[in-house]
Amino acid sequence: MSDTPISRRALLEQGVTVLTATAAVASLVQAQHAGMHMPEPAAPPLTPTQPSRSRRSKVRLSPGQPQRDYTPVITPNGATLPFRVVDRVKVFHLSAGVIQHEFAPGLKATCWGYNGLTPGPTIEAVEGDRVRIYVTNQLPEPTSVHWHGLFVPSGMDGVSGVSQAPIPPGETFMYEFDLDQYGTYMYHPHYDEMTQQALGMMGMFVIHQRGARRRPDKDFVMLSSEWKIALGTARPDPNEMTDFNVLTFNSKAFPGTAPLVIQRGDDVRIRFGNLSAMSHHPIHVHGLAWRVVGTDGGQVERTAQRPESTTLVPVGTTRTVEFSADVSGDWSMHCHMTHHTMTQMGHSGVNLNGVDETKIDAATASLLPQYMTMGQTGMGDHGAMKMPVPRNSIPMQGAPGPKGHVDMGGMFTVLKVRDRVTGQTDPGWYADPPGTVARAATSDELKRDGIVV
Amino acid sequence: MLPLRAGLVAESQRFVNAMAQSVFTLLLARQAEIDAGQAYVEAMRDYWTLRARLEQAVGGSFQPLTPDEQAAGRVQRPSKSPRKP
Repeated sequence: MSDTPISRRALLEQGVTVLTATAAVASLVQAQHAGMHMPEPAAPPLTPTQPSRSRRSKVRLSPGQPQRDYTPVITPNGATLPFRVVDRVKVFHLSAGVIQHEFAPGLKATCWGYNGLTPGPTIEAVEGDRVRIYVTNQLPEPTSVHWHGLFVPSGMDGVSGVSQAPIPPGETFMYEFDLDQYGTYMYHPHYDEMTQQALGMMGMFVIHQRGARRRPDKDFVMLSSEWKIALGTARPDPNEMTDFNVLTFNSKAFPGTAPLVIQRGDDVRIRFGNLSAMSHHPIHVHGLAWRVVGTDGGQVERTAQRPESTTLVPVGTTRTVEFSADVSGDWSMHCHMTHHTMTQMGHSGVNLNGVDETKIDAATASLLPQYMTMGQTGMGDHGAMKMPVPRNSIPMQGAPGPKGHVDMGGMFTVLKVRDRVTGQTDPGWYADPPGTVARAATSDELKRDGIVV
Repeated sequence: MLPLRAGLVAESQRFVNAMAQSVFTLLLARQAEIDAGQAYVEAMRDYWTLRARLEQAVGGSFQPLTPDEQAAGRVQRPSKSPRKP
């Protein structure tokens, strides 16, 4: 709002009522858009571009309320952090501690998280809110919380040793700052970052635009991370630097990932974050395309919002995308790095593709009668074999699907777009209209179209 | 050692099933199991060979003292009067 003569805060300072102020905000946004080079489109975007940093006024706005001021986000497999308002300040409480976490049926581990969860509950507020966040440390070592992407006073930035002393085990620290921006941000420790994030300590921090002219029907939060959990163990290995074997959305690997349930015609926003140790994630969606409208640095100018069906979410960033879900179906969404859709795949074996297993099996039969060569014709059917594997592991297991075994794992989930949905209740698999499913070709069809096989 | 080695072969087979280890790791586990079996047989052979020599040296069957003999303060059975089993 730097190019307008009066700020929204200044308007409120002059005692304008909330209703009048809302109209004034809308007219100011209109006025600002009128000055831009682009003509106003018929349907204004969910996220108007504007400077997201305004620190002119010290007036405290009314704390934003869910439903009234924003449509609450949905964190699949996760939760939203509750708050109470004390003297117009939103008060939150995060408690860092050791937790038991299930990545998918058959794989549990002892992790570190917030309020019993990894990722920690999503913090949700509104531009102009003042927040006070208590952080209790129940870990066996010190910690701190950095508010990734937020413009906070230097001493609230959470970098242990630089901006604050570390929070010792058993103690509770208090952070307090104004939210003079809106968009998709994150929080994570800045003490022993390598260990604490490898064990699951991270969360999303969503700030809604105050007085947004349009809201999405569904607003999802998806935080990516990666883990090394050796087969047969139950502790993620923080020392791993390259050979990660569990890749997750909101700390869940498929089939542990909950679907994103969407009603056809919904305006949908997805806020991606990536706090993996070492891996960038090109997130690909099937059946539709979205626009990237924001990053952890702010909103993307409308003229720079290119359409994409795969959006790279590098380590330590967020990407906010928006789209209209126009077609019903089960639309896969996954990281396009193929090793990131395999859970606990081993990476050190020899290449057996194309070998003659009868020779190997004959040579090993006298010593290892139970051994059977696998992988010589590919690995797609591995999960359906149901062979005994090390306990507490789900190597390449996948899950049964409506049309066969789904051989994916890791960062894979499904957008379930239906004509009618009830909240986030899983509607089951999509019932395809007749004649719209790929199938084996008949000999008549092959003959008709001159296909020789 | 033998049950441990057999367990390692079984566990290694599970890792191969998971495609987390190759057949060579499994073969090494099996080799270690066979080596352990061979070491067991050789240790038993050495034991019985040396025991036979010892019995020969003391002049008869080499049986441990009974609790009664121990209670009576004996530390060794006279070599001329071997205890019949």
